[in-house]
Amino acid sequence: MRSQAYRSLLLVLLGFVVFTATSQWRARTPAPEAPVIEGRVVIAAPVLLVLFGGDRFLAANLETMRLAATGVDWGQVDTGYLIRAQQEVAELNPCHEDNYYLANGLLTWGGAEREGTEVLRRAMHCRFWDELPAFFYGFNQAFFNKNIAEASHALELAAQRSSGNAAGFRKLAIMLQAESFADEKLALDYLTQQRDAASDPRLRAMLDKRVIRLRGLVVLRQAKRLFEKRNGALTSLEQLVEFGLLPALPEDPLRLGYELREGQIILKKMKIAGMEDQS
Amino acid sequence: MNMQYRRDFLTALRLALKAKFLWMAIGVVLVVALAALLSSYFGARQPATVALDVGFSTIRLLMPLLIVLLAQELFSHEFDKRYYLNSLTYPRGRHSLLLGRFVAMLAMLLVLLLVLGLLQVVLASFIGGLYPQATPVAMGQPYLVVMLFMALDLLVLAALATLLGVVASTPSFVLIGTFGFMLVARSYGAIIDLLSSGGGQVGNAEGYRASLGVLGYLLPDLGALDIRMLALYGKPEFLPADWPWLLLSSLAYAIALLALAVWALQRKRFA
Repeated sequence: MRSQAYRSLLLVLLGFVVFTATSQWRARTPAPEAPVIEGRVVIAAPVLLVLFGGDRFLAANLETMRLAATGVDWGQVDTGYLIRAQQEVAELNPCHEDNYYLANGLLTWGGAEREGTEVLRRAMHCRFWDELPAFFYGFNQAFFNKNIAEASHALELAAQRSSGNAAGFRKLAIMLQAESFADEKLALDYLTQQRDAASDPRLRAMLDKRVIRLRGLVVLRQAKRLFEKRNGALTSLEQLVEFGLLPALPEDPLRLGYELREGQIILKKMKIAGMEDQS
Repeated sequence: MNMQYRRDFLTALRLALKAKFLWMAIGVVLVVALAALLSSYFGARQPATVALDVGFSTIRLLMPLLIVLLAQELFSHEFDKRYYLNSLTYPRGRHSLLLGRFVAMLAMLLVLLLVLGLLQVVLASFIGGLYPQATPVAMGQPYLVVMLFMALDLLVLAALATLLGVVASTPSFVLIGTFGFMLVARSYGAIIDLLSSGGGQVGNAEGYRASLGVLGYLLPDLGALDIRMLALYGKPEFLPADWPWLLLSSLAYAIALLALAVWALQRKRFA
């Protein structure tokens, strides 16, 4: 009987000794090279849904709060991360007002218009009574994608939903079709208005940077019109400075800059690894 | 007959009070109020909607916890602690014990849900007064409909917890089983939606969708009972077109579970 007890105690000792020895051995072998992950990890919508107890509304709400609180650090927007994260929220609850509003303000005007516009498109379909996402979407289609047909369709939708502003939306759609207006000025007016209406000082500061960026574009396009009246087609932005039309090229607070493409000066887009520029 | 049900009902109330149900209920009310109020600060353009939304979510997470605790108290402990030596020796049917207690559990939950519903009305009107929204929340009839659908969701979970309380041999299985069921039944419908619309995340989305669709024949679609967009945005279009079938199928499922619980208790052999 006693020897039985000792035998099991011996087995205990043996087990622990083997365990210690093998863990020491494991610790000494070098760990395999961990793959480098760039950017922050975004959890896919179906997984988020399960993590939040099968409640897609709660998942959308908490993700939006988290993005508003952590996606923006020291006034700098982590756009590459926000793009992917806000699209997941748009899948969970496309009707979420804060999400589409932030996506339009921070993504679309921060160099990721295709992704911001996708969030807006979902919001436009889900919020079938709301004129604002339809207007934002139509405006972005005209301003960034030059897709006038889609833009007038969305603006007509906005006009149908609107009670007080229907005439304005329809007029804008007609003007777009006639291609008779300088869209950058309208965009500047609009963004300035949005900035002035923002109550949060940090949001206001961020929108302010985008206003300055757009103001640079307005200055550049004015100079280009003057240049082309005198000298013919512009081939590079630096010519504007060389010919004395501008003291210096305007500085972009988002550090993305401007570029000349197909004879028109546009806002430079963000380069995201793995995503081809499809415009 | 009537007397017996009433006695079981009152016994169940007394048991729940002894298990500090009142304090738990007060705790739930406080947590819901805090969650709704604090989350409204994060809703930049729609504070009342976010507050109501988070309030609904908190209720939907905390009420099942209360259901589990009540089911453990009223059913599992009855067999655990051998109270049945006393309670089942009177000349009466076992089903009256089960149904009386189930009705008592349901009554307590509904009263708490009513309190929480009124609390949300007060909070939403308070927060809505601070910041006028473009799309205000609808706290009238749409809100009532949303709460009714939520009550039905809780009824199904309460019936399941009762069944588990009768058949399971340990109280913790009531917790695991009810929450596991809740998680699957509430999320599978939305996951099927996400897989068919979003895609991109998995290679074989269609295969996943087909195999998840089988769940529709086994579990009620509790996720579809969450029609809170009706109250959040105040548009009657958010009421699903098939709502009578949804109500009927969930109700039938709850009744089936309850009947199964009665049958299981009738055949239960006590050691």
